[in-house]
Amino acid sequence: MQPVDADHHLNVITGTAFDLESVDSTCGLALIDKEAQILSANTAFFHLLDSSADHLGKSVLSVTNNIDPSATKRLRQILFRDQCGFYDLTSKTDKKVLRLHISGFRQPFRLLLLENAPINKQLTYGNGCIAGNNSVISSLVDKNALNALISEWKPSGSDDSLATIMIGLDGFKQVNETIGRANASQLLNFVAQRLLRVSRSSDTVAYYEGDTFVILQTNQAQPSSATATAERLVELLQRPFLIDGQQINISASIGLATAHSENDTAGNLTKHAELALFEAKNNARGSYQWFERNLEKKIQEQQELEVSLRRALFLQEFELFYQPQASMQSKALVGFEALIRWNRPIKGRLSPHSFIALAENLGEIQKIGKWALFTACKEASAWPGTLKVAVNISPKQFENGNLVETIKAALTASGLKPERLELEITEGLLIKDIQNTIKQLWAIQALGVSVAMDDFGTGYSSLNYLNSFPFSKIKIDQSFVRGKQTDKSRALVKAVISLGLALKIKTLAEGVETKQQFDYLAANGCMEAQGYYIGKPVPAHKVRMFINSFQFNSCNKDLC
Amino acid sequence: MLMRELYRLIYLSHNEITGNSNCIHREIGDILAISRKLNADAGITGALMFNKNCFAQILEGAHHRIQETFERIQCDPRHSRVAILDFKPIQNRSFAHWSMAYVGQENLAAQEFMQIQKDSEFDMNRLTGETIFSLLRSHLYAAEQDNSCKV
Ligand SMILES: Cc1cc2nc3c(=O)[nH]c(=O)nc-3n(C[C@H](O)[C@H](O)[C@H](O)COP(=O)(O)O)c2cc1C
Repeated sequence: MQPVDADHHLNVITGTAFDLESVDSTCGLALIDKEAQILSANTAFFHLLDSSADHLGKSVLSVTNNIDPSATKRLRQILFRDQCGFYDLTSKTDKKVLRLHISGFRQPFRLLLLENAPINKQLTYGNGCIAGNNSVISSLVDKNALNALISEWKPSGSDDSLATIMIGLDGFKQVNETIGRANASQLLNFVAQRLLRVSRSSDTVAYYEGDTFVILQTNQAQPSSATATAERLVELLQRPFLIDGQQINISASIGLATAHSENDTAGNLTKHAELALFEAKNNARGSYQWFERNLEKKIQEQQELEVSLRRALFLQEFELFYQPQASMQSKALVGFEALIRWNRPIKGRLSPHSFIALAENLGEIQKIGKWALFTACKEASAWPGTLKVAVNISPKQFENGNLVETIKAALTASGLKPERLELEITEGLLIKDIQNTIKQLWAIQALGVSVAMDDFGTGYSSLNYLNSFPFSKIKIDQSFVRGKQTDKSRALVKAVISLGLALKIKTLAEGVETKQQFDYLAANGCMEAQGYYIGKPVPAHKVRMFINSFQFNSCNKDLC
Repeated sequence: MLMRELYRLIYLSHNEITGNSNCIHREIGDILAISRKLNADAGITGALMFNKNCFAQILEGAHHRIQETFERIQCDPRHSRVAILDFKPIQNRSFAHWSMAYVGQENLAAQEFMQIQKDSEFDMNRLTGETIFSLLRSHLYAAEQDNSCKV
């Protein structure tokens, strides 16, 4: 639908006297004076508003009041404060929505233009007739209109406030995939209908985007009113839906924010509600959360982190630490795992779990991963003998298809023998696009580089994966090794070790901290160990020192 | 296709109507009046049973009509904690004569219902749709035979 330029119409019409009566249009047109009295209007105008030409000379508010009494106050504000814009009227009888465009004031009158509110384009509705309710969403105020309402809002008194209740369905994407698009859009319509049923006539219910709705409340005691509504909605949306012959259960999380003065509003209000909704979803499904200033701070910190992560490589803020790995039988060092650290100015040193996921989301991981490969190879090439270096590879690095080239280049640049490089990948990698991944793994192996399976036991691993590629090593996750041992963790460790023996794959236990753990694992046939008992991660310049003192230590102390 | 298919819904919910028995009677009278009118329009038949704590209701009709009606019922503040016991396609209606039959507190069936609830220790998960269905059907048919159905 074309946007309607009421001012343009005004220019055309004012030249031709005030007679709109004969203007044949599906749009309703009316001219009103300063007092909002209808000077002239076409038939469509009265027709759309379920009234008649009897209202000529009367206030336009008396006509709109007929179909949507809740709009009167707001319309009065727009009309008498010389604002322009549009307002959506919702018929109290059939819930149809009409959009009233109000032109700027041009003495001595202004033009009103009335049309059916645009259908929201973001959704398509299955076959359109499943339950006769499939157009509820399109009758809601859309995001643009919502933003317009918020930015036009002015408190009518000192205790007036505007509350935004932002409702997001939990796990809707998954529901969508499970029940199909048509059913999912029916579900959205049922949700919309429930929102309409519980909202007050003075509330505005809007379809925001995707699985998100907004209810605007004006003139209520806040925060109590919005809190009560949120509680009611959380409960109501938890109740089952009947879709396609089945019972469907979902839940909704809610973010809340209020504005008390005009300065608060504009884009801020929805942003605040979004932040609060985000936080609510983080806390628990089916919960609600009021916006708080510290959320803003939290998000701000997050944004700062993003910005500084993007330039960390350039500023050379990354560093590799190396954690030793030892053979359990010979008790000799076999190599080191390279662990990335980010030395953030002022904030201090961060370990990978606090920024790698972010780097993956930001798409920075490719560059960071490449840097880690080059650096690890270069630094390891200075180590004596056959000591290996293990480098972690993110699943994302398999996505752009040049991982093999990068590895080749890192080996060439450093002169490190391929046998001394081992890559560590996680099970999660093998879930997506397994064929393409395995193909690259074979190409890596063809270079002479070995590949270990990291964090074994924590993911969705299928034993099948172990069969699909000749991994050099299985790394048993530290959560099964470290801390308190349960029967279950012991059984799992034993199972993995025997699996390794059966498949002739080396097993390495991570997180080995004590002699007991070391002895237990060794007695059960585990081949290698990594953890504080062997040694903490050390910076590159201390590796050589560690190697020397380790030989000394292991012969004299704990390990012998 | 699905929308024309005949379905039966059976659910339980907790009564949220407070006040003395007059109030409760009046509210239930309202519910029945509107139900009978709207259900007749929508081709829905069924039965509603009430005792102090709970409602049990059976709705039969076209899939989409049950959907619409149930969505309205769901939003009604006069009850809460709606638990669906059964929702499935059926061959024939079992309550074809009733746009909404009612079995009240004083009725034998409701007392039996109360007993069943006690037996299941008010654990709704242990009540099956089948139990409710046979209870309501047998009592309504018996009442019809006696011609003493006090609806
Ligand atoms: C336990 C219970 C059962 C109800 N059963 C029906 C019913 O079978 N059909 C119906 O139209 N309304 C039924 N209602 C009433 C609806 O909740 C609702 O008030 C009515 O359909 C009018 O809808 P409206 O207020 O959205 O216009 C029932 C209400 C309750 C509390």
